[in-house]
Amino acid sequence: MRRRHGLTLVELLFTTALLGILMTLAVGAILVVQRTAEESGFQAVADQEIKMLSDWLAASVRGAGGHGLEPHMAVMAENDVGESRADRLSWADVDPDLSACTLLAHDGLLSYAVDVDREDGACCLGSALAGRQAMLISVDGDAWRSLRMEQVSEVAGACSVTFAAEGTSPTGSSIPASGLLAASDGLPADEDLDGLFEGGTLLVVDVLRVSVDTARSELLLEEDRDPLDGDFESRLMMDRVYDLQVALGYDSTPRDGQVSNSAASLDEWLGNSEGDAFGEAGLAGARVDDLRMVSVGFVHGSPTDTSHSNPVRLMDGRILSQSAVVLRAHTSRVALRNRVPFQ
Amino acid sequence: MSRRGATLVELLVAFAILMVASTLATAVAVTYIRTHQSQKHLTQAMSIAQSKVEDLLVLYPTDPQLRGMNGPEYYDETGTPSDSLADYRVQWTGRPHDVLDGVVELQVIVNWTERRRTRRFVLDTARTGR
Repeated sequence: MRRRHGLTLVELLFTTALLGILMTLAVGAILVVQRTAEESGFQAVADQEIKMLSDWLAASVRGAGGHGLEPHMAVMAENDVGESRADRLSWADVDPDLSACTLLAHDGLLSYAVDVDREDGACCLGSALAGRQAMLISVDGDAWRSLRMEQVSEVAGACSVTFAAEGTSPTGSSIPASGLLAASDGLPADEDLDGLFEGGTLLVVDVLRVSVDTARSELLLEEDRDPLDGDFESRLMMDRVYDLQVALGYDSTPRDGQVSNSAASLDEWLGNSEGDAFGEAGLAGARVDDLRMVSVGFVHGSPTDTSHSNPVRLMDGRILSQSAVVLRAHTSRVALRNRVPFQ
Repeated sequence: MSRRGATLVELLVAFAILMVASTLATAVAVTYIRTHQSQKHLTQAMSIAQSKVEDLLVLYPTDPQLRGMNGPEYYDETGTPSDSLADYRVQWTGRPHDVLDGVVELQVIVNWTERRRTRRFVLDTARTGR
């Protein structure tokens, strides 16, 4: 009968060495693949969130204005806000349930008499609207500004509205010197406001604003949810957002129905490349009411275990690079729909 | 009962089984990663196509870009236009609708290369003549 035995020492050493090599290779490969798959999963979720966010933003912005408010009055982009050089985008939607009011004689810088209904003598604005945002448009449509209605008074068939002081309104005012629309003739200086809107129109609007808190890497939606406090409340829309860039597209030079886009100063986009300036290069001769499109871009990051970093730059923003974060940029363009009735 | 250790052949068979299992697990994970990469490209292509449609909506109804084949234009992975032969190649066609007066049928085609294979996303839509 054949003798049965276990492994010899040499066989044992050989198999142990072989096992060690194979296991090291196999486990190493599995770990790398597992980690990559996990990061891939994070990125897939982030991609979906960005797509949803982008779709929502596009749907909101493309409907800006309407009901008597031209889109170029309803949209405002602020360029390079703060050291982070991120942008901020605001837009206004007219409350469709409320009709436009006429601004009659002004009484002081920020107080106007408004019209009353000829049939029942009721004020065009109810006192309950105090605290809401209003868009003021001059008779010729060359000037506009959104302000918060601080007080609406109805006394003996007369009606007046007093607006809050500057600083509370995201559109049409408070634009920094580097603002994209600083050259706009639709944004008069404060000292020119006196009586500017006499005979003009008042529309009650809802104003929304998106911005990035770069210190916390959060994309925020700001809106005036409680009109009584006069403040804009912020809501977190998405975290791990490192940059928000906005560009405005004008059909200006020439006015041929096209908004040329080459991501350079010679195109008809303002804010999509460094050195863009309103009235210069591709935007020479541009008017604010030439605004046709808005482009919005985000830079989002997903965590990674490696110290990998990939520099990303969007439009005229700064070059971003984060250790242990994979950065992804997403850009979308929308055409402003509510401009057609005003052509 | 006779007690003994494993033979070399038995161990090698066990290693082989282990390696096959590991290879399968790795293959599944790699497929997952590739699927996600494809999904990422597809999402970006969709976004570029949608933005292109928005560009076309701004054009005057008589613009030649709304007739026949146009392009190509190139976009990088962030969706930014590029002069070079960047990641995404975009072409579009427009033709008047057979029945509806003033309606233009649009087709935007986005091509990109993925693991040496050309992939394509096609977006069909229409715009009125306003």
